[in-house]
Amino acid sequence: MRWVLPLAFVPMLALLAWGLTRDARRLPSALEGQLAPDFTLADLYDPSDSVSLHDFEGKVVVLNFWASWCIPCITEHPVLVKLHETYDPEDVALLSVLFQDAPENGQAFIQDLGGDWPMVVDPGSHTAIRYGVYGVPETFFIGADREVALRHDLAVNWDLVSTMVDSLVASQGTPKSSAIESQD
Amino acid sequence: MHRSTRNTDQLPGTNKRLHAQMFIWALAIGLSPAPITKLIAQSVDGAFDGVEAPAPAGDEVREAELDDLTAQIGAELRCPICRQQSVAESSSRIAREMQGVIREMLMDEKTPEEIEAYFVQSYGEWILLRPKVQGLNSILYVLPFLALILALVLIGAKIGFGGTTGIHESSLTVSAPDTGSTLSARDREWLDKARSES
Repeated sequence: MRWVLPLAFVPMLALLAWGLTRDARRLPSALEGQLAPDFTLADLYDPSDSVSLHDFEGKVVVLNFWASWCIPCITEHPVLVKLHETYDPEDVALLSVLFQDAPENGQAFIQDLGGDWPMVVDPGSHTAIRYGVYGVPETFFIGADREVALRHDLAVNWDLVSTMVDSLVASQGTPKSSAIESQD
Repeated sequence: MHRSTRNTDQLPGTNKRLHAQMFIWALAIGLSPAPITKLIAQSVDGAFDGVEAPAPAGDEVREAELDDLTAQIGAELRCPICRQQSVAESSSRIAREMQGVIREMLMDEKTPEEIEAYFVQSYGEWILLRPKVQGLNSILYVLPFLALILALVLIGAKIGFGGTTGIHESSLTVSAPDTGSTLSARDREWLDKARSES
């Protein structure tokens, strides 16, 4: 019986060790590896105009949720500007979704910091909730096959963005549907 | 005061009849089913002008049901911002927006299971305050019972179901004291004396 007590501590210690090695700030994303949900949202500047995810079919999409009141969004904004200027719009699309913010505030933010890629508003945060957004900024890297490759919370940096986009552009030639067919 | 008394005295029958009529009307309105009460209220408000139709009572019931169901489903979901609170409890904006989504889905005739599945699809099982009993989650539910059984076994062993524990031998037994070399001569003498006296 002497070994029973120490043995009982083994799984508990293993669980504790596993828990301590995890980053509590890293939130799980259920969408990674799944097809990105489609949406249609009104343009930030022209509510009568709308933008859909399927407008960017066949392109790598960087989907960024942001707000004018969010400080890390200011930090990451130059990275997004660089992304938009660096990559061919035929290959890579950047789409920004204003989160829990008034369109006027978003417009003022862009006027100050620049940016002329598609931007949309999300009243009621329906799309943000569908994407499992916790807060801003959050960025989703979506492949040309519409599969979510990565969800990144907090501000993005150029290393992350360029690495992710390069790898997704490189794999653009093998859409998921054909990959599945070839496996079959 | 005086004039009033005099007037009452002048027309006692009229006042009594008026009071009786008012009482009957009040009773009729008070006891009538809600639609009739509403009918009277609506006619007073001019709601039959056709400008704005009021919500029928059935809609109010439906609204209350929707509120209840929204709260029930929200109580099962974790607020993404205040993680120790449910969506129903939290006053954060995202929680209120999630309640809005729940309500809209209920209005679209979605079942609570479908709504939960929708949020799990977006946020993962993390969003459920009560993890489902499946896969690795089962450990959460089984482990406390295993720990309890193990504790009972250990306690059982300790208090002497086997009859050979330290407690039994060292502190409870006085029938066979050790009178070996650990006792001093003085103690042994005292012990012998005590034994002979008993």
